[in-house]
Amino acid sequence: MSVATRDRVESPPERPRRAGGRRFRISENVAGYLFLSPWLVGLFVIVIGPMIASLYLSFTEYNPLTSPSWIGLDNYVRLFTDDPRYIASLKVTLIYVVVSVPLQLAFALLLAMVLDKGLRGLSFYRSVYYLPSLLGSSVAIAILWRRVFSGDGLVNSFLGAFGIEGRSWISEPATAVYTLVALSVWTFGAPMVIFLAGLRQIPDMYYEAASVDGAGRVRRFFSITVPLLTPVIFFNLILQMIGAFQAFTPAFVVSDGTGGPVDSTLFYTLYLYQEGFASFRMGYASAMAWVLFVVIALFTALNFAASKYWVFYGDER
Amino acid sequence: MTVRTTRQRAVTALTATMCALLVAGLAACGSDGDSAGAEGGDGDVSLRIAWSGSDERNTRTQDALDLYMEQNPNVDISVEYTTATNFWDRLTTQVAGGNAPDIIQMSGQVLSQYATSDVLLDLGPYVDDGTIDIEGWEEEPLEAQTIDGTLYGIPPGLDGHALVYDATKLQELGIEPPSETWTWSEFADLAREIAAAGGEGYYGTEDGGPQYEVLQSFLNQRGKQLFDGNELGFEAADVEELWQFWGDLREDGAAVPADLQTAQGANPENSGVVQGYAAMDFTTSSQYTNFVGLSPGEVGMATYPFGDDGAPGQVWRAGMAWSVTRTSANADEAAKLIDFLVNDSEAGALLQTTRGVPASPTIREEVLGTVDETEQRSFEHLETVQAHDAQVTPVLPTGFGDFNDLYQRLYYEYAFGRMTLEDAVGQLMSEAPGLLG
Repeated sequence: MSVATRDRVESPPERPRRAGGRRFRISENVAGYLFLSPWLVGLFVIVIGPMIASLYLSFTEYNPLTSPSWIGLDNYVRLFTDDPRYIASLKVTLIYVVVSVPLQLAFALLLAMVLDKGLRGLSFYRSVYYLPSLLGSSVAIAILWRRVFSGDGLVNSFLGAFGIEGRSWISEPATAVYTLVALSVWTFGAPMVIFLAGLRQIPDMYYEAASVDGAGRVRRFFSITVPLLTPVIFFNLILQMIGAFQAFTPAFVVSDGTGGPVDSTLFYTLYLYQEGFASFRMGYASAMAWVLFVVIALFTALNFAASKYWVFYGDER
Repeated sequence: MTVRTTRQRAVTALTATMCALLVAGLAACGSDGDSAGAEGGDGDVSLRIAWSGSDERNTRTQDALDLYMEQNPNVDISVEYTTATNFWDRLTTQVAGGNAPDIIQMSGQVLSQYATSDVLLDLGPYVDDGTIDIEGWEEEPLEAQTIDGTLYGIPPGLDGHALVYDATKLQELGIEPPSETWTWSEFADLAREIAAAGGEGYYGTEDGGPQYEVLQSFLNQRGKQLFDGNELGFEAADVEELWQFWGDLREDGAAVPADLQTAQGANPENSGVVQGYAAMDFTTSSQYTNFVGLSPGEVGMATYPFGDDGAPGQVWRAGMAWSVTRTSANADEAAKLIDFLVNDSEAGALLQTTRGVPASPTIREEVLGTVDETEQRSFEHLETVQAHDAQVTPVLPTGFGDFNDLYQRLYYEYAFGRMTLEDAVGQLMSEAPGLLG
């Protein structure tokens, strides 16, 4: 449909000489769409289709073993009025997002600055530091994490060397979520690589000029590096924030799928999964998914709105 | 003009290629589900069977199925097995998509959910017409698969609630192992004694507080049940008494503290008995060989402690069952295969105790003669439990999984000191009824 419509707009019919060209252009477009088709099929079959289905299901009571029955807004009402675990999972997730994302970005920027110093064997270090990002969301690392932060784990052995007696960080409700924050910070590779690319874009002459004017390292960092890097920081912030809202694997593996101890690692998506698959409330889980979608969209929109005040694009003014 | 034709030709060729690729891709997607059954001539039967479990269970079940296919060349069986974690997600999705396997290894924890959602087939007719032979079987395990008079599963194996202990450690400390009819008071004394003798960081027992099985025995000893149909079979006072018992043990350092306990997860490999920081743990007899295999020292198996008035409150279970789905196109053949798995001597010899002590008394006798000493202990243990006026875990109500999660979570709220005993139990009593039924 869209192929034909667009074509008509582009080649007015009152020019008969173009008739051959028009047919040709149609077939060229068809080829284009056919090339796109694997992606298009994927988009409709495994993204948009299920999204619409889950929107419908979110208004139903749906035990996946039977058929859904329409209950209107009940699921949404229950989410916010009658489910303390949901509110708890929302809190845990927000803590995770608010703590882990800035920490991770700061860490990534710090290492990017170090690596930007023109180290010998830079590409080697870059790869090494990127590795955790590739492994970070994997099951193996989450299991390793459980060991590292357990009662007799690596962290406590290290603390023990200084005479500090640690505890089981991962099974203590007060600290469990921060072990997951640590895991997220550890996977700083992806934003780091992007920061590195961003740092390369800043012309050396700015720094030279600033040095001549007597600006020290700190001054140069805050007056040149940060302002010129804000678009990259913004990009990383959005990306990591969306990722953090959707974090699932680490919490799932570290807590054996329970979100424990006592719901202290009950991430939003983990609770959603539990409700849908373990408690057979797929309609409720769908409602949760849509609320998450809206929450992420809101946070992203807020960030974009706020970006006007702190993100500096070189071509403005 | 010539240029244009060439381009046109190129575009046509590309279009054709893309079409071909697309069609091939779609065809591949479409044929995924029934690849096993598509081949073969008339009269051929294809069955899909799904289970979860250990590697050994997988290999041995595969061997038994191979044998069946050898004996019945017209039957083609495709197997789907995964770890326990993934099994139910996958199965739920398959059922929702109308693509359920013919035979499922059902679990007692979700049987009600599946049965009341009309997923499972009534196996009664197959028992009546002799396709599935349950002659001479104990009745209780079959009753535990029966809801409103309809039989939804045939249990392959049985086990009993059991307490395992680190026998080497007890010997080292010069402490007598538990007797067959010991009581909760004796258990508490023993746990304290071990903790005192074992020194810093060694505990008498894992915390039984979060385990519903412990509550179940405890209630049975008071003439009560976990559930009465879809209602709770106990009162706040029962749970308070039990949790207080564990709270005292934890306070005295006789039971492991909450943060150690939650770290252990459900697997024997994480148990304090295997890891060497606690002397006793609550489990089932079917896990005994795993405890033995994983522990550096000797592991003993005892009964759950009796009530202080001597009420045994012992429990045995048919924790899983072979069920047939309603959507199965070959239900008759599925029933025959189930009969083979639970009643055939050769199959029994292959499967051994991978799903517990065989439920069929005939096969139980045969397998008992072939297994090693450790495995024989689980047979003996079942008999010991049965000898003490034991109960078989009945059908658990729909929503049991949610109940169990809530029970554990609130116990930990209490154990971590984040809630008082009264508040935690109060919340249990107010929230649990809404989850059941």
